[in-house]
Formats: sequence, C-alpha cells, structure tokens
Amino acid sequence: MLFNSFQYWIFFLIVVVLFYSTPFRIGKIILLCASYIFYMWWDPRFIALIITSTVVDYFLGIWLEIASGRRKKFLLGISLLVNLGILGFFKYYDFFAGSLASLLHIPESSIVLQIILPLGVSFYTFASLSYTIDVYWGKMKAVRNFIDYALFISFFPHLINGPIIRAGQFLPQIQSWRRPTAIMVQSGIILVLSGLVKKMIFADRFAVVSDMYFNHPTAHPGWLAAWTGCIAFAMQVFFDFSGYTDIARGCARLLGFEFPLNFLRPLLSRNPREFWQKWHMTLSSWVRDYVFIPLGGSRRGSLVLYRNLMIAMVLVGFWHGASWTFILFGVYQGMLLIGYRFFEQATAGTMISRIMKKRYFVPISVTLLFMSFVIGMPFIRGQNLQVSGYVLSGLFGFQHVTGEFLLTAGTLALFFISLVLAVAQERTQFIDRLALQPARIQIPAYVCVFLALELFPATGPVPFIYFQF
Amino acid sequence: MSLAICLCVVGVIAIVYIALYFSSKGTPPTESPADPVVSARPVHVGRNLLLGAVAFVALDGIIFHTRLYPSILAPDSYAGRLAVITQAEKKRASSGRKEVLVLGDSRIAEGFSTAVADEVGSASGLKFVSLAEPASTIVIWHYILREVDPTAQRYSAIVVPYGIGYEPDTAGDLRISMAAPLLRYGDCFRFASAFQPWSDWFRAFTACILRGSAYQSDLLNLLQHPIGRLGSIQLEAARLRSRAAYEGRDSDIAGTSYDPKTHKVSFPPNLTEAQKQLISQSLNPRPESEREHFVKLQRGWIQLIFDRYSNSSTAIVLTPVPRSPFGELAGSSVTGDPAFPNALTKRAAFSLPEQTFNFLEKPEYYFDGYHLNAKGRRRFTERLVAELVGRLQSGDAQSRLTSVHNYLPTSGGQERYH
Repeated sequence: MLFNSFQYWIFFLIVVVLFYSTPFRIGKIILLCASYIFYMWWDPRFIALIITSTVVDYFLGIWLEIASGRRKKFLLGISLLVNLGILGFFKYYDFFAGSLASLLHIPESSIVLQIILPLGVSFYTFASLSYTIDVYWGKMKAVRNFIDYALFISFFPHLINGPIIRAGQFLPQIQSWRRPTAIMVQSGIILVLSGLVKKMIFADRFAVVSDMYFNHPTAHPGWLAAWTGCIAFAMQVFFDFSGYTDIARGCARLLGFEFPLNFLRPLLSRNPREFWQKWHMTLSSWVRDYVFIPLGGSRRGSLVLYRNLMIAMVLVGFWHGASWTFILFGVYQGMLLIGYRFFEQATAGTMISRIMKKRYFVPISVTLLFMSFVIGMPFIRGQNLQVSGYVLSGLFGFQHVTGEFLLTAGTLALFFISLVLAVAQERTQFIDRLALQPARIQIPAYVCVFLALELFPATGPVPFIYFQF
Repeated sequence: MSLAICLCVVGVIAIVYIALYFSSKGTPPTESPADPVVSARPVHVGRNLLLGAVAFVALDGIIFHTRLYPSILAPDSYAGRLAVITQAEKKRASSGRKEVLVLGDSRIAEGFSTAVADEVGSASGLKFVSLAEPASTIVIWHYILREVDPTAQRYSAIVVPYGIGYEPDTAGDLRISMAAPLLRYGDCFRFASAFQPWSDWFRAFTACILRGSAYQSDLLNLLQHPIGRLGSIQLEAARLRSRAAYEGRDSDIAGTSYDPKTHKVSFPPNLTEAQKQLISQSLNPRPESEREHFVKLQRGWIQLIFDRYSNSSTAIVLTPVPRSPFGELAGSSVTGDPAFPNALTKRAAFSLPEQTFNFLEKPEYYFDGYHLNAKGRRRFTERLVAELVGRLQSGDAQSRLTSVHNYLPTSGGQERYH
C-alpha cells in the first residue's frame, strides 16, 4: 500500500475510525494489527522478521536492564547479532557473495541467493537497535508492555520508509498518549497534503526526466544531458523522501503521535556539515549517536575525527544500498565533509572566511553545495559502477559533447516554484503556520492544494524511491 | 538566438541569486520551530476541510463541467476533437432530409465518406452525418448520442458498428479523457463500469465527478504552449471543413500476403518498415480476456443505445466493419460469441450480416493492417448506403421491428438473414 494510493487512504480512514472509537488500550492493539496488515499487504512472509526482531529485542531489553558486566555485553551482542544479522543477510548477503565470486573468479550463481529485500528492513532494524543500545547505556528503562514495544517497532506510518524513530522519542508518547488537539489535527492534515504535493507533483515529474536519462544514459551523452539528468534526480530524491516523511508525520499526528523532523530544507544548506544536519536527520543523528560519538567523535584530534567522519559517511552510504556505488557515495560525502573541515581550518580568520560569511556570498555557497550534491547522484542512481562512471564522465565534460537539455518547461517551472516556496518557508514558516490561520486563508489554501493534486500529478501511483533502501 | 539564450541564463542566475540571498537572513536554522499545539482562536478542522473540499468540487465544476475549459481543449487531441465535433453537430441546423448518423472508430472514420454517401443516398432523400472518431468505442458513442440527440428523435437512423476493435484495454486513460467532455456527475457508476482494471475504474469514476482529472495532460500542454493552443483553436473551423472534404488515403498494401496456418506474412518491396510493423502487429491475436471484455462491453452498451431509442422512430442499424486485409483472423469475429446476440433480443433494429463487407477484406483496399484506403472507403460507403437505402425505403414497419437476433449469423457463419 503506497501512501499516494487510494487504497492506503481507505485503510487509514478505517484505522482512524476504529482507533478513536475504542479506549486507547484497545486502540494500541488496533494500531499494531493495522501495522502488521499494512506490512503484510506487500509480502506476508516477511512479517516473521519484524516479529522476530521485536520479540528478541523486547526480552533482551528487560534482561539488559537487570544484567551487568560481561553478561550485559553478551546480551547487547545478541541484539546486535540478530538485528545486524537480519539486515546483513537480507540486504547485504548477495552483495558480499557477488563481490567474493568476482574476486575468486567463480560463477556468481553458485553463491548468490537472489534474496528479496524485505521492505523497510533498514529502518526497523535501526529503530530496534537504538532501543537495546539505549537500555544498555542506561539512557532509558526497558519497556515492560509488549504491545507498546511492538507498536514502536512496527507503527505503520514509519515502518517501511522512516523516519527512523528512537524508543526514547516514541515509547513515552504511547505511555502518556493524549487525544490530539484540533490544531494538531489541522497541522497533521496540512503535513499530509504537503507530502502528497511533494511526491505526486514534484518528485514524480522530476522522475520522468531522471528516468529518461538514467535508464539509458548512453543514449544521452554530453555534459548538459548529464547535469540536467542528475539535477532532476537530485530534486526527485529530495521531494520523494521528504514528501514521504511529511505524510508519515502527518498520519502519526492524526493518530496523536509526534515523529521527529527528517528534512529541513537541506538543499538551501551552505556547506556539507549543515547539509547533513538537515538531510535525513534521523539517520544522520542515529549514525552520530551510535557510531560517530562512540568511535571518539571529534574529541581525539583531527586524524581520528577524519577517520570517524569517513566511517560514519561510508556507513550512511552503505545503509542506502548494498552496492559499491553506495559505498562510493558514502566515501564521496565523507570526503566533502573532511574537505570542508580542512578548508574551514585553513581559511579561519582570513579574508576568504569573512567573505564567505557575508550575506551576498550565501547564494554562491548554496549553489556550490547543491552542485556537490548533484555530483553525488550518479552513485545513488547508477545501476552499477560502469553507469556511475559514465555519468560522472558526462558531468565533467570528458565526453566532449554538449548533449541535450533534458529538463522540460514543466520541470523547470517546478524547480523555480520549489525554490520560491523553500525560500518563503525558510523565512516565514508559512506552511507550519497555516494551521493557525483563519478560515479565509485556510480554505483557499486547501482548494489550491486539491486542485494541484487533481490537475498536476504524474500518471498513476509511483513507488517511493526510498523503498529500495 | 544565442543572445536570447544568454539573456535567459543570466536572468535565471539573477533570480536564483536573489531568491537565495533573501533566504539567508542570519544563522541558518538546524531545528524547525516547534509545531503549534494550541491556538488562540477556535479551530474548525472539519468545517474548514469540508468547505475547502466543497469549494474545490464547485470550482472544478465551474471550470471543467461547463464549456469554459472544454472550449479551449487542444483541438487535435482525442478529447478536443470529440468536443469540437459534438458541439458542431449540436449546433448544425437540420437539413430537412432524413438524416442518418454514422458512428464508429477510426475504421469507420477512414472507411466511411459522407460525401460519397450523400451522393449515393441523396436520391432517396437521405443525408449522412459521420461522428466516427479514432479510438472511440461503443461507450463513447452512447454519450455522443446523448449529447447530439437529447430528444432521441433527431435522426432517421443511427449506424452503430459492431465487431472487435483493435485498441488495447491499456488505452483506458485515453478513453477516459476522450469521453470527459461528454460526461456528467450522474454517469460515474455506469461509465466506470466500462473499465476493467480497478485503477481504471477508479479513474473513470473520478473523471465524472472531478472532470479536471481527465484533462491533466491537456492542461499541461496548454500551460507549456498557450499561444500555440489559441492559434490552434482559431483553426478549428478550417479543420472541420477539411474533415468533411477528406477523401481517404491513396496508398495500399497490395502484394502483402498472410498464411494463417503458418502465421507467415510476406510484404511487397514498396512498404516502409513502419507499415510492415503495423501490419504484423495487426495480425497478433488479441488476448482472450480482452476479447471477452470487448464483447461484454458491446453487449451492454448496444443495449443501452437500444433502450434510449426504444420509444423513438429512429432505426438503429448495426453494421459489421471489414475485419482485416486478410479476412477473418482468430478472434476477430464477434457474432459467433453466444453472449453477443442474447443481449439484443428486445430491441428491433437492422443488422447487416457479418459477411456484408467480406469483399473488401483484401490488401488492395487497405493502407495498413486495420484501415481502408480511399478505394476501399468509396466501396465500403457505397455498399453500406445501398444496404441502408434498401431497408429504410422498404418502409416495412414490421421488418423494422423484427428482432435483430434473427439477423445475426450463427457461430457456424451461416447467414440467417431474411
């Protein structure tokens, strides 16, 4: 069931009606059942994985709380083994097996199992891991109510595409759930509508251009084609994922739960560090808290910092997909972060640093950051290293052809509309404030959104791009 | 030209620069302000949402259900062409003669000539009007009739082709947008029932309520080429005249042969690759499910047309169309289907036997695998008019009222025409 399908909204309406027509202790069970049905709609077999991960971590959490010393470490090890084992086997086995086969020059078919990637496995295993690690660190108490814990892991708005929820953020909301206020319902509806507009109008229209380019990159040689194809994909990825997050947050809010923010206009960032503070925030903060800081963070000198940054970003890249291109994406992002730190240190106190802080230089910083993000797109969208390499050679003009301008008038218009809306939102938060506006503003806004969704969506429900991650 | 491009690029850079400059006041935020939880004024979630939805449906109705938007539909699109020809037909003054309306898809649009028909039928006092449109189906013909003949009394006869069409079931979107200018709010369930996959059913249903949803591509096209669209609309009258003067295509595919046993087709050297591909495509058997759906659709919607004219003096004439340049292909016959004639037992009508146009099923009368060329067009029209004149002039009310069931050939192909 896709968030942008009619099926989902019928399902959601039924869930809302059932949830609010029963006391919360029953409502929780209804939400849990609905979440499992939501997941099984895609493939019922893989529900066993979620249940296994849930049961194991639920009991491990309780035991971790009372255990100490080596036993505690052992229990955490089991949790890591189970969760990373599930993730590793289903997501990464074929990648490692394939790489090994090509290294040993043996036929791939002899060891590759062609495993189907279970939907959302990267999201719910990270959510589950954060719980056991937090209990291990004593940051939170183990949850005793199994339904509460199972709902935290499988709550359908975040189950298959995030944002990555932490136990500390969600479990207290279950334990002290309150009916959402009218203003929360209003803002939830606005979030859902904003997500649908992002996905169905912006992402899916940019997808037409990026698919045209990336499905047959050799048919579109030249730097102009490469840049326009990559820009279209960059815009698609952003609108697709942030649209999904908005819908997920909106649905959760309509049910009385609050999800953390996942995107904060990252494409207006001025440097790579700021970008990763605003892009897929729940993943970057997860990696920061559970990988970067435990490795020593920035406390042990520059070299260790650079190493940690690189490890964290390679992990971010590898989390997105089991392929060398994703690892290279992580390496590339790590290099950008390290390069920016170098640059920052080298220019500290100089005129360059002062100019870069000036307001008139901001558009240049934003443009440079956006271009650096676009350069990373071949790693994410390219099906393999050859394709990524070909697109990169196109981006840097090594093909010695100009190529064609792939962005249509419609996508160019969308680009500028999104820029204007992002700038307006950055300055005034007009979308967030819409819920507080009087009817004379809200009703025309609803009409505009409904008309846009009626008239400008790309044809048919297109799956969300992050499903593959 | 290059100066204009340079100016555009500079303009774009300036806009982006200014926009980003304005976005950059102070330190960039890394946390969103907390979402509002309480409001100073009363919040009316349901009321505002409902009013928004009502206003949206009303606005869609004003723009798309009236003539406001349909009058600027791209005249060369399926929907635009249908809107133009139905409007023109609605406005057309009566000729004072017995008018015969011919409906159909591209096979009739290419195969039937009103000029030839008038020439042949004028002595009998008949005037022919064609509203045959490529890609249209029996479903659309039903709505065309409702639009151009609201009283069900306007025509002496209406010619409705029967037989297997060739547009695939996947053309759902096209048919929905094509029919959109003719749809009303009340059509939602009936119109949607003509579509098979659930997603098409839903889109068809929505198109009746929110008609704008059926014009998405047309609207985008309008936004991209507004001036071109206006120019194109101004050429509508000329386009209608050229439609009447159209004489068909001169080329043929003579020399092409097909062996139904081996499924081998051989082409003469003068055919282009595109022509060869199209002919080969036409020889692919239709999937059984698609064929069944087509037959079911014809059965149900022909019945609707009959019902509409049940108290009218208008004769409904069911006519076969030449099936292919190579005669009957697997799955191209419809009357052998036991489901087909059963639906037609109540309404009196003429039906021309399926074999009526078999003499035209030769490559020299076709310009591709589906459509008659100018020569075939003339002969098809002459034969059709001759058949019609004979029956309409007989004035035998009893024969008119004879069930069409009796006229349809049996599955064995033996004619039972009286």
